[in-house]
Amino acid sequence: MTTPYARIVRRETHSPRTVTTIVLACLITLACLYLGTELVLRMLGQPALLVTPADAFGWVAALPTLQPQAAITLGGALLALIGLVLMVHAVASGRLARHQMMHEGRAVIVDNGVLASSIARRVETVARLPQGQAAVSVSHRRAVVEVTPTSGIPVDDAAIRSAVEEEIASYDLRPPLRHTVRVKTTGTIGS
Amino acid sequence: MNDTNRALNRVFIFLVGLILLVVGSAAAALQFWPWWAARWDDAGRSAGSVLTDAFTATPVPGTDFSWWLLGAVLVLLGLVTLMVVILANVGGGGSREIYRRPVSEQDASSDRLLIDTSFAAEALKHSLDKRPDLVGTTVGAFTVKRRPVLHVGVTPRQGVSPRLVMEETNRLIDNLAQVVGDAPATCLTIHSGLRARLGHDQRVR
Repeated sequence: MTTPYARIVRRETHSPRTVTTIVLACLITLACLYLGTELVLRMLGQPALLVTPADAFGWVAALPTLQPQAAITLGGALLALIGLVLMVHAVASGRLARHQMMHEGRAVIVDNGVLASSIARRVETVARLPQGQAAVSVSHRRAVVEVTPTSGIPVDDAAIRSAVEEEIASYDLRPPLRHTVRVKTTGTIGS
Repeated sequence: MNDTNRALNRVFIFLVGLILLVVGSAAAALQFWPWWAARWDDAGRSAGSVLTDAFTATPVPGTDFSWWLLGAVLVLLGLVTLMVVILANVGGGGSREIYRRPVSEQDASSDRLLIDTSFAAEALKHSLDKRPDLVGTTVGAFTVKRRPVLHVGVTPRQGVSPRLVMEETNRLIDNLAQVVGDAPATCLTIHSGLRARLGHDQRVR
């Protein structure tokens, strides 16, 4: 049985850009409805809501001569910037903070946050630290473990390192994670 | 894992961005580029006269407005329809069943055996909700390349090893497969989130 797992994994680890699409489509719809309303009001000979179509056209046509020019430049630059951001947003990969965990026959996707808290728990258990003294951040290819020892109680550096390595190896992630362990030289006051 | 056409999403966002970029920079350039400002002014004037001529040339009988206005309204309606089409494109692709095969192996034309998604969802959720190391479960199914795929999402508590969560959940799915007769294609997602962080942080192992 061939299942398109590659496709599933790809879709689960990359943003569909749905929110941006919905927001943009709604804004464009609203703008169109407003313009349409003004046009229909003009056709019915009713007063405009904000501006008549003729005035709006005149305003656009006279844009180079309007004052203050700086405001128009600023507005234009702002629009251009939004456009640029949207274009980058459309082209960027939109990779989510997730990893694939290898398992034969199934697609398994894990949030980086789950990995981080699990590694932290393991480090705290191994180093006999109270909760919250191992801070772990997991990015696409790297896990950074920062251990704050309790003041006066040394921690077993080698044990922490091997525990982290073992823990990460047990996940069998794609892409694989490298890791850095930093034990702070200043400890906290024990609680 | 729904059927959203992601390429369409991206093309749409790109085009909107491109239009905004062009319009915005055209307006911003007016102050610094006299030649461009003069062109804009000329174009505005000539477009104005062309439009006035066109409007007076094509009046709708009995009114004071032109067919062109009516056309503009139709164009706007067309744009709105396009937006609705784009919005309707988002999502979808859910599957009502996770499993379908002929009742008889020999006779492919015999009645079909269907396993409803809700059956799998009820069964899995019932088992998963009893687990102390999970705070949330969602089960659903999607059609990927015309094949139903069971989707199980779990949110473990803080500090629970995803490997253990995966193994236990897979065991449940295997059990389900035994009941159903065949393992459905499965995608398991393990989430972190507000619920995991706010949930009671107990040591479960």
